Amino acid sequence: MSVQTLYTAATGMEALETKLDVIANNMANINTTGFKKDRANFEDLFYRQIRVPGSENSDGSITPTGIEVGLGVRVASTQSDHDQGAFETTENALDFAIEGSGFFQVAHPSGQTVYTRAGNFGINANNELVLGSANTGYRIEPSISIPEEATEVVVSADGNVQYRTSDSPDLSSVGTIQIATFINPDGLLKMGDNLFAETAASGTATPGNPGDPGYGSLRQGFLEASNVEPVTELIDLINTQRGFELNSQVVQAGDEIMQVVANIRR
Amino acid sequence: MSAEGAKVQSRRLEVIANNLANVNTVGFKPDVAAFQSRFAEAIQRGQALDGDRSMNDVGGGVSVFDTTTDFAAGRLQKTGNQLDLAIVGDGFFQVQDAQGEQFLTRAGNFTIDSQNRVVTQNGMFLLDSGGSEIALTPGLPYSISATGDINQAGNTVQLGLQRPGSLGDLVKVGDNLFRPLAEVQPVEAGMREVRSGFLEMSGTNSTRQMMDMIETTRAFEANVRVLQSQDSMSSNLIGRVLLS
Repeated sequence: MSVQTLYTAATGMEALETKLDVIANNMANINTTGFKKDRANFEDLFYRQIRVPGSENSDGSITPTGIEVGLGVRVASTQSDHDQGAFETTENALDFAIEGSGFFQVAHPSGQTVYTRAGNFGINANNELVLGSANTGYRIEPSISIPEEATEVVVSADGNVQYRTSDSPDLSSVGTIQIATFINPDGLLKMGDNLFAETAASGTATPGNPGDPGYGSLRQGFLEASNVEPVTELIDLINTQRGFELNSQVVQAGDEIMQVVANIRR
Repeated sequence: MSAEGAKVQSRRLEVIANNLANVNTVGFKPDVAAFQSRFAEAIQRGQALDGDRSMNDVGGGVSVFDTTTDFAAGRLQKTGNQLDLAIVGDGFFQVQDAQGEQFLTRAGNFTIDSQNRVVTQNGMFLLDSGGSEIALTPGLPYSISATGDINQAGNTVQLGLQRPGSLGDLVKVGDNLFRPLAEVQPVEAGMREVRSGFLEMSGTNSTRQMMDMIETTRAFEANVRVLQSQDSMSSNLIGRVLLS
């Protein structure tokens, strides 16, 4: 009987551990460019219906309540929160932030297009615009090459990439940075390295130009900071820890009862 | 009699364990285990009147208990996520699974599926006041008013806020869902209040549950102690009978 108590409390502790993992990851990425925080959603497990409410009792009357004993809790999902992060000014011509919805598209070596909100780009040996993260260096899609002689790169809010050389004061265009939106960005798969991949839940990417209706616009010289809010995370952390303690108390109570049972016969 | 008491207390502990396990579950409503004292058997069989203050009037211990769900509103927590909805006051969101079965829930952490429909974290469809699925157009901004109207590009759909005739008609089925046993009715126009960007947190009051838990364990111990003293009494009695 009390064994159920132990298992129920254990589900609580397990779910809270997962929540703690999520909080730890959020906190760890508090300075990660373009990071989107996660949230653990909990739901109750099923119920043992010992007597369904509204059943007929021996007198023939309908009972207003029943006996339902719940079996605990589980994590239903971890949901990313795609709220806009704060803007950090960097004054680097190849740092871009998206204000509004949309993701930069980059080419993954597997041939698949992957998505990111981290706009810290650089130029590789072939003069191509590439993602500046540590172990990727993936090319932006559609690819944009900036000639070697360029002395200044100007990117407008609608994604148009132009450059100037020391010879001429006129701007020449080399292409447009496109961004992609998703019906359900929460459904994107987090790949690490600041990258997201499309899934059946996210829907297919719909690429468009920055500034189109429903698409965000580009800000050159800015980066989108992580949207983790330390205060909220700390409050969540405290709550999780207390919840864990409460559930461990339940385990102790269940254990105590079993001990009493074991000692019934003296 | 005492054994029954101990058993009921341990069942009650299971209910408390579930309440505390769900201390972080959105829209969770805790259960309260209610006891019923049993009439003495003689009274129950109709051989004596209750309340006649005779030996027959001694109660028969505790028996079946009910679990009633405490539907008191939980604390609202701000999340800033537009599709997080909290109901202020009465009513439930109506959701439907792929087989067409409808459930009620207070957990308002909705999201959008790949076909633009507003769904729960388990992929159940949120229904509007007409009982059909709600779909949003991707990319277009939308707003959700305090009365539960979802406005997008001039189109308005109203959230289906339903409630059963009696809260006792709801069976908990897990996954934050309630199965209504009777017909549900829409919440009246003046009573509808929804907050977008908020979630209703678990209704579990941890202090109260901890106190209940302490009480439960102590009551269990007390019941077992009575059981033991009954046992030693009868063993004494048997011993004496055998001696004589």
